[in-house]
This record gives sequence, C-alpha cells and structure tokens, in this order.
Amino acid sequence: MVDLGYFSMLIAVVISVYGIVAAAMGKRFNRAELIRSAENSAFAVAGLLTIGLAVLFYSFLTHNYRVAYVASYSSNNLPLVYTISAVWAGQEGSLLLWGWLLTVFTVIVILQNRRQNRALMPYVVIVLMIIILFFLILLTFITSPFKKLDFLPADGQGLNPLLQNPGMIFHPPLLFLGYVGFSIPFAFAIAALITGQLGDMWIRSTRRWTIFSWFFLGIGILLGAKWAYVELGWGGYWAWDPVENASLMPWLTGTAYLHSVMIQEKKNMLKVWNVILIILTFVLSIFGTFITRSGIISSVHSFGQSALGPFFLIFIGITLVAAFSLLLHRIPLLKSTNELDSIVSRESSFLFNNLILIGVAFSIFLGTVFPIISEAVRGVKITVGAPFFNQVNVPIGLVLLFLTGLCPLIAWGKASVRNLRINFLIPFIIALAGGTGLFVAGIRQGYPLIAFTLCIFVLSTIVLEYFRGVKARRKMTSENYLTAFIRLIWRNKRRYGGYIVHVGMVLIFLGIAGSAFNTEKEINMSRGESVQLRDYKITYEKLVSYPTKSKNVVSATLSISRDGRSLGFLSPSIEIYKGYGEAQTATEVAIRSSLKEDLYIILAGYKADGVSASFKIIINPLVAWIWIGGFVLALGTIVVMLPDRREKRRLLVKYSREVFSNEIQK
Amino acid sequence: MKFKNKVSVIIILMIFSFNISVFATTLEEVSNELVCQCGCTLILTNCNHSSCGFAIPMRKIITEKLSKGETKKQIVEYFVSQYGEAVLASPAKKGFNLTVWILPFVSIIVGGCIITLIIFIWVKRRRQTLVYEGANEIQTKIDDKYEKIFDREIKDFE
Repeated sequence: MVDLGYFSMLIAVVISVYGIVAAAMGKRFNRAELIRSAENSAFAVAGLLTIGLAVLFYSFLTHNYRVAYVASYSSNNLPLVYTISAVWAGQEGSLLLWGWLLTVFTVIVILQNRRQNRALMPYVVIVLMIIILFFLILLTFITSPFKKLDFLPADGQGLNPLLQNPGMIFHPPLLFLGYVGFSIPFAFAIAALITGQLGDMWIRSTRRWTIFSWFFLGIGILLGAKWAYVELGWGGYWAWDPVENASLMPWLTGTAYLHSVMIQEKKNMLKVWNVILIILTFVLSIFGTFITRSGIISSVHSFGQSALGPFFLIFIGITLVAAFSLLLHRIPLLKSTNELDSIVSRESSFLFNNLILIGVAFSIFLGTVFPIISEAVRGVKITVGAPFFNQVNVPIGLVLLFLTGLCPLIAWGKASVRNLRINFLIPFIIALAGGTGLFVAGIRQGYPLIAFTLCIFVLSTIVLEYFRGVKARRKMTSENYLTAFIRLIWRNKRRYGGYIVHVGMVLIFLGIAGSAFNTEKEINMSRGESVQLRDYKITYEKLVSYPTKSKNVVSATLSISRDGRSLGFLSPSIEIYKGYGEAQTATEVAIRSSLKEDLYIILAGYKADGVSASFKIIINPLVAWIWIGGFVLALGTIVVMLPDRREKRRLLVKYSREVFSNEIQK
Repeated sequence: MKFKNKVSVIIILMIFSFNISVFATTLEEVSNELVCQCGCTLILTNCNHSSCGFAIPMRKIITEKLSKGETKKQIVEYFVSQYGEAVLASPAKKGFNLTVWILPFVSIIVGGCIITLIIFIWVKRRRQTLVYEGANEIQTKIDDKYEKIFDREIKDFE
C-alpha cells in the first residue's frame, strides 16, 4: 500500500515533465492536441497526488508505523481527529498537501479556461506544472512521506502536544490554500509576460483566485493567532515570530496588489507595478515555507525545521531571476499612458496605500532577516523581537488605518473640494468627538487613542457611504430600508462587499489597540485564597489530577466574581503527555471571554498536594473583536466573490475587442 | 476667543495631559527588554514554561538586582555581558543596528517623495494633453472657418 503512494509520486514526476514539454511543444508548433494532452497530464498528476495523499491518510488511520512519517507524528493513543491532522503536522505531509492542493487548483483553472484565455493557457500550465514538479521532486527524492523503517515499532512517537489543538486542524490547510492560491495569478502574470498579452484580461481572469487566496491566507493567519492565544499560553496572540511574519508578508503584498489592480482595470495604469506585486506575493509565499523549513532563524515553529532550506532558496532565486528578466524584456509593452487628472484623487490615494502596505511588508522582511544580516556583517548574533516590530509597525499601521477610511471615498480622476467635504466632514467631526470623548473618559495613551479615533473615523465613512447608497435607492425605488440595504449590496457586490471587508479590518485594529490596556499579575495562592485584579475577584478553590488516554491532566479550579456577583468557575490546566516524559507538558489556559475583555488564566505551577498553586492572570481588553473582525472579513469576502452578472455584462462590452483578438489567435 | 484659538488651546492641553509619569522600574519592564534563552523565542515576560531553566533564574536575578537598586539599563547590560546581544528583545539603537530601525521609515519617506513626484508628473502630462487636445479643437474650428471663406471666394471668383 505504501509503495503505491511512493510510485504514484514517481509517476507524477514523469507525467509532470511530459506535461511541461507537451505544452511547450504544442505552443511552439501550434498543435492544439499537444496542448490538450498537456492539460490532461495535469489531471493525471492531480489523480496521482490524490492517491498519494489517500495512502498517507490510510497509513495514519491504520497506525502503520512501518512508515517513518507516521511513526514520527502519531501514536496509538492519539485521538482520531489529531491522527487525521497529523498528516500535515510534519514537513513531508505538509509538502504533499501543498502539492496536492496545487494540482487541484491547476485542474480547476484548466476547466475554467477550456474556452477562454487559450493563448495564455499553455504557459499557465507550464508555470503551474513547474511549481508542481518542484514539490514532486522534493517529495519523491528528498523528503518522501512514504519512506519505510527497517523495523516495525510497537507505537509511534506521538504528536507534539502543542499541535494537539483544534486550531491546528484548520490553521495549516487554510494557510496553504492561501499560499498555493497565489500561484494561479502568478502563473497568469508570467503567461501574460511571455505572450505579450498585457492588458488586464489576465488580472480579471484571476481576480477571484487572488481574493480567494488573500482571504484564506488572512483567515489562516487569524486561526494561527487564535491557536497561539489559547495553546501557547503566554497571554498574547501575535509574537512576531519569523514564521508568523512570513505568512503576513505575502498577505500584505497581496492586499497591495488587490488595490492596485483596480487602477489598472479603471485607468490602464500601473501595469509594471502589478506584475511586480504578484511576483513578490508568490515568492514571499514560498519564502514562508523556506523560513519554516530551513530553521535559519529561530522560531516557535521550530518543529518544522529540516534541511530543505537550500532547495527553496534556489527555487526562489530562479523564480525571481526568470520573472524579472521576463518583466524587463516586456517593459516596452507595459508602458501605459500614466496620466492623472488631479493630485487629490482615488488613484493617488491608492498609490499611497500601496506604499504603506509595501512599507510594512518591507519592515517585517528586514526585521525577520536582520539577524542573518547582522551575523554576516558584524559576526554578532542578535534578536529582532516583538518590541522592534511594535515600535516600527504601529505608527505605519495607523497611517494605513487612516488610508482605509480615506481611499475608497475619494473620487476617481479628480476629487473636488465639495466631494471631500461631503464625504469626510461628518466622519471627521464624529471621529473628533469620539476621540475627545475617549480622552475625557481617561484614555491618554497616544497610539491607542489615535487608533480608536481612526477606527471611529473609518467606520463613520463606511456607515455614511451605506446610508447615502440606501437613501439614493429609496429615492429611486421607494423600497424600505432593509430591502434597499440588501439590494444596494447585491447590485454592487464588489464595492459594498469591499466596505464590509474594511469593517472587518477596523474591528481587528480595534482588538489589537485594546492590547495597550492589558493588566497582568503573577501570584502564588493557597487554597481558599483570593486575589483582586481590576473588577475581578479570583479565588483558588482546588486542584485535581486525572489521567486520560494520552495524557495526565492537572487542573486547578478558580471561582470568579465581579462586584460580588458570581461569574462561575475557570479551570486552567497543565497537561503532561504520555510517551514524551515529564518535560513534555502543555498549558491549557482558561479564558472567560466577553466583548469588553478576556479574563485569561494560566496555571504556572502547583504543589502536588494542591495546597498552593501559581497563576498568571491577565485581563486582555477587546481581544474578542479580533475574531469577530475575522468573521466580518469572511462575510465581506464572500460578498465580493459572489458572481456579478451586471459586471460580467459591462466587461463583455468593454473587453469584446480583446476577447475577439484572443479568439483569433486561438 | 476665536473658534480656531479655542481648538488650538484644547489640542495643546490634550497633548500636555498625556500621562508623563515616573515609576519605579518593575520586573515586567526589564523582562520586556530581554528574550528567554530556552529557545522559545518569547520575550522573558511571556515565557511560561513551568520549569524553564532560563526564564525562572533570569527573573530571580532581575528581582534581586532591582531590590539592590540597580537601574533597568544596568540590569540589561549585565545580561548582555552574560549572553551577548542576542539576549536583547530588539537590537540596540546604535551602530550598524540603526539600519534596521531607520530603513523602514526612510524607505517609506523616500517612496512617498517619489510617488508625489510621479503624481505631479502625471498630472502635468494630463494637463499638457488637455491643452494639446484643446488647441487641436480650436485649430480645427479655425481651419473650418478659413476653409469656408476659401470655398466662398473660389465660388465668387468662378
């Protein structure tokens, strides 16, 4: 059975090579049947990788410890759900999942483009198959998930306790959906560069793929933050760990790309810039894996380290050189009219939005790789940790938040004074009043006060925009407010869905700004003793210890009350995993969450008889808004991605000439 | 007092009433400057390993030094002498390390200047195009006018 997995990988390598050659030959000699054969080979590779992944799942489910990977990441007492998620717990399984997703995406792209983009498709297939081939080579010859042991262990080594968390079931696959998804717009960009078809058809053809990838990468990052918050037990959700940073960078450049392509669609400008952005986004997606797998920078994700770093580095190098050489070659075709009606316009505000997004991505990149630079230049090892990233990125992030409110409401072309007054006077007054109110209420820290004021400003601009839209619809159609509101969104999904996404981002900013008001206390309490932290009275009641199938759990019970009113009990615990020795422990924090704040308690230590125990108690204000923001962001993205017949019709008219020329070439 | 002046006074008062207080250095303040050396990559405040061989002794040393009246700077320097610069949670703002602190802001400012310049060029180019198109339009009208006169004169001549 295991051999079936290995051979399916091996055959997939051969077929991938065939697919690349067939697509290239088909295009070179204008042979449609060869191009079709290359596309079919992608289907075959997807089928083979599906077999490979199914074999790996089967090996985990049947506890086949003859397979080294299964023996390393699972054990007899591992719960079923984590036995399944263990498939992507290590390097080999992660790469297989990555490769499989890419083949599935490739198949979908081919099916979507059976009748369109025919001039681009051979090159799209070539680029995607080259990326698939890279992963297949790693999976077959360098780090095979089907490598067998010479002996059959009675039990596996088990899964790292930190990875035994519901967040870990979804966090890696969702991140992968994002990382892998960016391969599609990248492949189309390269195909557009090769063919010289550098209008915005390639952008429009991949718009949904870009949003899909951006969304899943963002949700994957948020799920990672949630995992860190509930599982790592240090009280926060973002530690600016290199691997966290590596996931944030492509998301930031992807965000910049999503905004700047609007200018190309509207004004036929920034063609070169958009190609650069998608190349960077794809390369940074691979860079994330390089950081995780190379172990070149110490990270909390050190469980993912291996010797694969050089392979990824070479792949990144080749990709950059090839993509930028092509770009330079096509510069004459990418020249656009580049004219602006006014300095104050949507276009110019989007340019500044891009600058800030790329600025944040650059500061994160620099901070992440600076330990390597320092060691190379000075020979001194240094750490670039959270204080650096917070000090540098908070002010830049605030500018970004301001632009989130500003950009969408400035008119295209030329913003008149009247336009600015209509759109911004009321939000500005509301924000000023809100900021003053917060100041009077006692919020005196500079950054949080500015952040909250800007959140009010951005939300006001969005609410006002919805209000105006609803009012205009009611005037025309006499609909009631709810119907007008729903139809407003339904008929302008891209615009109003985008505003919903912005609301989600504002809520995330709100939650992050709340961290400035954290309160924490470390205390050793005897049984029956109480401690007061802000409004909360926390009493240590008892300590219990009990075994489960895979671990011993030591759990403390604390009663919580506020203003004399009981709020129930919280039970933080320490879990000692069997098969790992006493040192392999994981903290299970207890959290009482509300919209206002989270009461977050960690069991830091205990006396065996339970007479006393140590706790770290933290009050984290507004954290829940980060997760709520994630849901709102998801809702907005769904709205943006829904099919829009009106837009399709508009585009059909606008691009009929380009479509026609493509058909001719076909 | 004029409205503008009132607003200015309020803004100045707001700026000056931000909390500018002096507190005694706490364990948390010092711990926030340092990274635990156990490999968890977390700042010392956040390392929660129940039996961490680094975080627990490091916190103990900090508490002892604080009780002796040592300043944050002295304590941090002590740890740097023990573990090297890698113990600092962020690079010291001096020498080569200044690069990482300054470069993000410099690049954004330079980028901002370049974008502003580009926007000005594009706006100027657009205005020139408009002037050119406008001049063409006027010229076409003049040409039409003289063409009509010419046609009439030819007709008269004939």
